Amino acid sequence: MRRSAKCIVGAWFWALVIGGGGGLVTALPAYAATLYVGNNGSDAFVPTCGAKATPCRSISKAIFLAASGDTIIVGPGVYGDLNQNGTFEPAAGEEAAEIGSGCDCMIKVTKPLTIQSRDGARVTVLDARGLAHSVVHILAPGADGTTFGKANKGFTIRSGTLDGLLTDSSATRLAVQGNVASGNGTGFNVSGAGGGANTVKVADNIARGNSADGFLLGGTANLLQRNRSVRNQNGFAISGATHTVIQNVASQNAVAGYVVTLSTGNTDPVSNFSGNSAIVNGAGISVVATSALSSNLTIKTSNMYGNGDGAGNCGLNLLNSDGANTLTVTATGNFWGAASGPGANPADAVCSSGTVAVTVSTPHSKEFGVGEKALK
Amino acid sequence: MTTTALVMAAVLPAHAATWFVASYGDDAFNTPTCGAKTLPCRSVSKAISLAAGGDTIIVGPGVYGDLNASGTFGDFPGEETAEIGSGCNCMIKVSKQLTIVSRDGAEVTTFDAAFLTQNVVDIQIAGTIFGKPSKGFTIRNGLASGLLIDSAVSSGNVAGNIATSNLTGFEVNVSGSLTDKPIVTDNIAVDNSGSGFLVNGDFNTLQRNRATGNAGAGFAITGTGENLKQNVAVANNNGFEIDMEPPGHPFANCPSCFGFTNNGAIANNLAGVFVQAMGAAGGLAFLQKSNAFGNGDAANNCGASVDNQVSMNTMGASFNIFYWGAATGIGANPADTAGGVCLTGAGAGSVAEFSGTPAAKEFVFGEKPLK
Repeated sequence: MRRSAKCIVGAWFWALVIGGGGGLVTALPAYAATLYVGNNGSDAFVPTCGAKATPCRSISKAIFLAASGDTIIVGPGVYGDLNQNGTFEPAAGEEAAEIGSGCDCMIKVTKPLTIQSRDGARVTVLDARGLAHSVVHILAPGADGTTFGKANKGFTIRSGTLDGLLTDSSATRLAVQGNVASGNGTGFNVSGAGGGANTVKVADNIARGNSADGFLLGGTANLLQRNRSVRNQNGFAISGATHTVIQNVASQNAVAGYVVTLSTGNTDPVSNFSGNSAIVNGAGISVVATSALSSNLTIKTSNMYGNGDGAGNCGLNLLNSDGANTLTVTATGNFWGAASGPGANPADAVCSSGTVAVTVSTPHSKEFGVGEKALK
Repeated sequence: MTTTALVMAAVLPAHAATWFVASYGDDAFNTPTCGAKTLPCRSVSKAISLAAGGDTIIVGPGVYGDLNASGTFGDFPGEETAEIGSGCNCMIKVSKQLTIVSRDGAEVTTFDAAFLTQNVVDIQIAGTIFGKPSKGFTIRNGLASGLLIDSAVSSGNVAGNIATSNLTGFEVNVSGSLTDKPIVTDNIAVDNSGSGFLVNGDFNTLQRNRATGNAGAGFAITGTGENLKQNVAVANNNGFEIDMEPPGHPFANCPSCFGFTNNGAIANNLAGVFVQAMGAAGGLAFLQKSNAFGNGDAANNCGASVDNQVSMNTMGASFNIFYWGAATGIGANPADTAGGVCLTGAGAGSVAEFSGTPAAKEFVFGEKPLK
């Protein structure tokens, strides 16, 4: 019955009723509906908001009204503490945030939904104004299967005190795409129990100007692809196991473009690290090992240049504090800023501490093209 | 013979060269000089000094400016040749007619003035192409403007750039004409402490730009004959500020003198579109087919405001076929309004006219990808 009330939003529902359903059911998924949210909306529309002509004002309201599998399309504008009085008032179209309890987030995704903007991240802003720990929290297992943003159809996510977008460590089947996180603690704090169909996919996002890491990736077998991380502490901070990290660019991050951490039970953090660029960061790619290493990290077809300064131009920075074991990194076939491979400025060098074994032979003689695929 | 030579000249300009700049470059490469693809320069300034008019400079990803963060330029190899406190007071001076583009786009290619100069980039020559869609620059930390186009510049094209953390994002002082229109497209001004786009010159085209989160106006427009289309202003102080001055402003009462079509003003703190007259001789500014909704607050939900400071004249703006957030036109929340509390000033009459019927639904024009 609740579905009937909501489906007033779609004319096709009446077609179904009038036509008695029949063959239409196979063409249109029985329970997938689209709800609309806009700055011209009102959560108070009766009987309910969410139709294209009577959009909701808050994304939280649309999530509340939606059923699993539905799509929410969000129009341009701002969502959050609209009157900027420091609290969220859902009765006035502000997001139904949980502050200091629950998710401590502004927008809580609790169902498997597709949530996207109509006009893209540049003009669609989710602003927590420093009032919530996370701007967006996608909860597992309830929201497993959620797509948050798409290429050209994402969100600007800003001013969360801890995270712009947060997923749970047990999350599966998530896609986070086309978003811009700026002015948060960590831009995208993503983990999940990925692998195969369960993979948490983070693609085509931008983390810019966050006070901690741009992307913080944990869990198992998740995907970072074609993201850009600029002017954060670390661009991409990666732990966990067997991730795929490809075609990302880190630039102008204060500490390192990438920091990959190995430890006990965490010896193969990135199974595929290729096609990435680390350009003008404190260090390019840092590999940090603390204990009990048995596996290698391989870095290939990547750019490392312009990192550090004249004295410490570390494109690759190996830090092994495990006295008993050797940190082994294979970094053949990469571009170091000079055709001859790692070296003095203007090339980048290999830096290390502790016991390491590193192979940097057969450097690539010229830069790998990076950002040529259009990103939003 | 003559014909053949002319055709070849058109296809291959005799002296057009391409210069490369990269974060792994070195301004001291001297075989014979930096700028080849395999021996790129480190600074854009160096490439400009080597280039001739008509050349192209392609800039790789990374950051350009005060590389060692010492607070001065020139004390570390490859820093930009900035002029501080004199000359252009800028970090990068474009003093030749060049095409300057990034290879990988604005998000990863940054010109950072570190608040050491007034302007980050100063374009002084007509016909300059600075950035293209997907091939622009992030321009940041200028004390005054991120990108300044001087008033002596009569044409040019600025596209695909992001200006952030400046006072003004893009300042366009071009003295264009009806036949020679500088074009500013596909740029983004975000989180500047003043206006996103400040257009003081005449006959400029601003198209498909985005202004978000600027503390001043998204788009501040003075001058004559500006043509604004498909721009969107979100979460600025005012979305668009249109200043009808000086006296006898040509666009008053002249729809053909000022183009404002298919723009969007959404969720700005004060008004979506703010039209003011401080010295105008009266008349109307004509705006059409645009969105204004979600602006102001519950008490002052002004999609458009008109502020007449001229005591002897009636002035205002005509809003033709606007979408105000509801099919019924202006009204209470969640729609925006444009009369009543939104008409201010000491003048004899601030006017908001509504020619034609309001649009029943939102104009959607933002779907072209922006970089």
